[in-house]
Amino acid sequence: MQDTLPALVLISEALPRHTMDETTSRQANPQGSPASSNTGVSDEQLMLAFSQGSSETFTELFSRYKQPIYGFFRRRVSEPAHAEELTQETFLALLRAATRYQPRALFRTYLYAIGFKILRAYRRKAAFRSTFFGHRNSAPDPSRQDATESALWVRRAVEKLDPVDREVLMLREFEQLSYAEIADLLQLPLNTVRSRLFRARTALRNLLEPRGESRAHSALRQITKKGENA
Amino acid sequence: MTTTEHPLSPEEIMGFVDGELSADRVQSVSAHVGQCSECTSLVAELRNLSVQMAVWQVETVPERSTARAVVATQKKLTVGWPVLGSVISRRFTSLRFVLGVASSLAAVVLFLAIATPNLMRSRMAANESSAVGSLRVLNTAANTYSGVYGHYPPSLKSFGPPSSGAPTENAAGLVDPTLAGGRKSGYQFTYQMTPASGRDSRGGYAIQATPIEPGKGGYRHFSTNETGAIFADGAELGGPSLPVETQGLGQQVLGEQETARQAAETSPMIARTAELRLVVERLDEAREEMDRILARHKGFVGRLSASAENGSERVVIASLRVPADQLDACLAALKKLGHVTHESQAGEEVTQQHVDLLARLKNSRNTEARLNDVLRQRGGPIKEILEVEKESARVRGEIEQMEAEQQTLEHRVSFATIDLKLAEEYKAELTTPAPSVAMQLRNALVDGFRTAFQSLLALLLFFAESGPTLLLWLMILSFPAWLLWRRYQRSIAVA
Repeated sequence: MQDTLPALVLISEALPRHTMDETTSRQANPQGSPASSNTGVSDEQLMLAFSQGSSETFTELFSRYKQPIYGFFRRRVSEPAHAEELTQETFLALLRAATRYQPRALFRTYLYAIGFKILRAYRRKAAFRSTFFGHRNSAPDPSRQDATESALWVRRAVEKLDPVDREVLMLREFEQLSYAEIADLLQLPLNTVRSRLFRARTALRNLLEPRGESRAHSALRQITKKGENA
Repeated sequence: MTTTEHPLSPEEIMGFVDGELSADRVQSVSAHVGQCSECTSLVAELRNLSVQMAVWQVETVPERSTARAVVATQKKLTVGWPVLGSVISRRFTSLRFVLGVASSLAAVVLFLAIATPNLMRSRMAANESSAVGSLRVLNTAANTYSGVYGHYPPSLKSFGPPSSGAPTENAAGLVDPTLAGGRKSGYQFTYQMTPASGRDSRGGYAIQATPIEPGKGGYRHFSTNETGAIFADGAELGGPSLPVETQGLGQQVLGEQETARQAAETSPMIARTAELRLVVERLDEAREEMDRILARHKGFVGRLSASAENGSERVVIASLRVPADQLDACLAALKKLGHVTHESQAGEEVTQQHVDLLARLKNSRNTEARLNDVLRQRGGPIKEILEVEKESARVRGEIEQMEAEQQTLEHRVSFATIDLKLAEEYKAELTTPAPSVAMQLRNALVDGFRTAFQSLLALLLFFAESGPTLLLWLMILSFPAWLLWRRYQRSIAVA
C-alpha cells in the first residue's frame, strides 16, 4: 500500500525536486496507473483541458491524486470513512472550481490547498460538536488503526509534536511539498517553515529514540550547538 | 576529515537532504558533507528519520470512491450529487439523526394538537364578532337607505357600491362590496325585504347570518330585523347578561329594567355619525353655503377650525350637529358644495345603554326617596342622621350625573354628527420665495448637529439605563462562555 505521489506528479513540477533519499519508494507509481493517452501530460495541462470541458482528463487527475489526497486526510482524521468523505469533498470542490482554474501555481499545491481548507472546516465542525454537543472528538486514535507496531510508534511520536511543527513535518514527509509550498499553504514565512521543520525532526528523533542517543544524534547536537555559536 | 569547523547550519544540511538548495550550493554542501563525519552522520540521521516515518502507511482508498467520482464527472459536473449522496445518506441515517428528527416531529405534532383547537376557537369567535358587527352595519345602512329612498333596500346588492358613478337606488354604496356580496368572514348573509303595507310604513326586512362551515367558521346563527335587535340562535344578543353595575341591584330593579328594555326594543336608539370630505373650488363661498344649509336644517356647528398654511391648501374642519331626521337631507345638500373625496356613515346603537341608564336612574331615585323618608320619619342619634344625609347627598350626585349622561345620550341620538372637511383646490403660489442656499445649508448644518447630539445622547441614555443590567449579565455569562471557548480551542488544537 502506497499513497505517495505518482511519478507523473513529480514530472509535472516546474522545478524538479532532488530528493536525496534514493532508498524510499516515493517516485514509484504504487497504483500502477493504467497507461492512457494522457501519460506524460502535466497536471496543469490536464486541469486546463478539464476546465475547458474534457471530462476524461479529470479521470486521469483523479487517478493520479486520489490516493495521495486520501492519505493526506487518513493521517489526520481518525475514521477512514471520514477520510473518504473528505477526499470526495476535495474532488467535488475541484469540480466546482474547475471553470475558475488559473495555472498560476502547481496543480498539486492548488489541490492540497483545497484539501487543507476542507480539513480545517472539518476540524472546526468536529471541535464545535465536541464542545457544544459532547460528541467524541475526531483526533486520530492510533489504537483504532490497523498497522504494524513500528507504524504505531511513529504515529504516537508524531502526535506528540507541536501542532504546527507536526503539520509542517507531515506535509514535507508524506505530501512531499517543498518548503515554499508549505509556507504558502500554512501562511508562514519560508524561514519559519525551515526552522520549524528542523525542530520537528529533532523532536521526533528524540521521541523515536528515547532510550539512548545514537552517534549521529550526538553529531547533530554538536553541529546544532556550533551553528548557534557561529 | 575535519570535524572542528562547520561552515553550514543544520537547516542548510537539512535543505540539502530535502533537495531545497540551489545547484551551486548543492555542490559546496556536498563537498563539505563528504569531508565532515558529523555532517555525514546528520545526513544519515535525517534520511533514517524519513525512512522511519515512511513506515506510517495508510490503506488504499476504497474503490467505490473512484467509481462515484467518475460518474460525477461523466454527468457533466452536476455539482457532484451522486458522490454527495453517499455522504448525505450516511449522515442522515445515523440513529442520532433519526431520533432527533422523530423527536422534533413529535414536538411539532404536539404543538399543533394543542394550538390548533385554540386557533380555531379564536377564529370562530372573531368570525362571530364580525358577523354581529356586519349585521349592525346592515341595520344602520338599511335605516339610512330608507331615509333617502323611503323604503328598505330590495336586496343585499342594493347596499353595495355602484360599479361606477354616483350611488343609486340599486347600489346605494352604504356597505363594502364584500358584505354586499353576501359572504364575509366565514358567514353567509341572506336578506329579505317585507314590502310596505300602509302608507306611512317603510315595510320591514330580515337578515340571516349563517356560518358557511358550521363548526369551523363559526357556531352560532345570527339574525336581525328592522327593529335593530340582533338575535343569536333565536335569543336576543346581550339579553341574558346584564352590565356589571346593575348586577348588584335587587330583583325588582331587574324586573323594571327588563320592562324598560322591552319598551325600548320597539324603537331602537341609534346615534348616527357621518364623515364627509370635500374639495371645493372657493372655500369662502362653500363655508357661507354650509352655514345656510345648517340654518335650513336646524343644525349648528359643534366645532370648527380653519387653517391656511403656506405651501398647502386652505382647509376648514368642522363638526356639525343636525337633527337625526335631517341628516340625509343635510348630507345631500353638503355634497353639492364640491367634489366628494370621502364619505362614510356609521350608526351606534345605544338602546341598551339608554335602558340601563334609565333603570339605574330609577333605582337611584327610589333610593333617594327612601333615604328622604328615613330622614323625615325617624329620629335617632345625630351621627346616624348625618350618615343618612351623607348617603343621600351621594345618591343625589349619582342621579345628577346619570341625568346628564341621559341628556347627552339622547342628544347624540336626536342630533347626528357630521365630521366635515372642506379643502380648497390647491393652487401653488408662484411668488413663494424659496429659502436661500446659504440659509438651507445653515439649517441643514444645525439639524445635522442636533441629530448627531441627540443620537449621542440617546446612546448615553441607553447605557445609563441598561448598562448595569448588561454588565450584570455579562459577568454572569462570561464565565461559562469562557469555559466553552477554552474547551473549543482545546478541541481544535487536539484535532
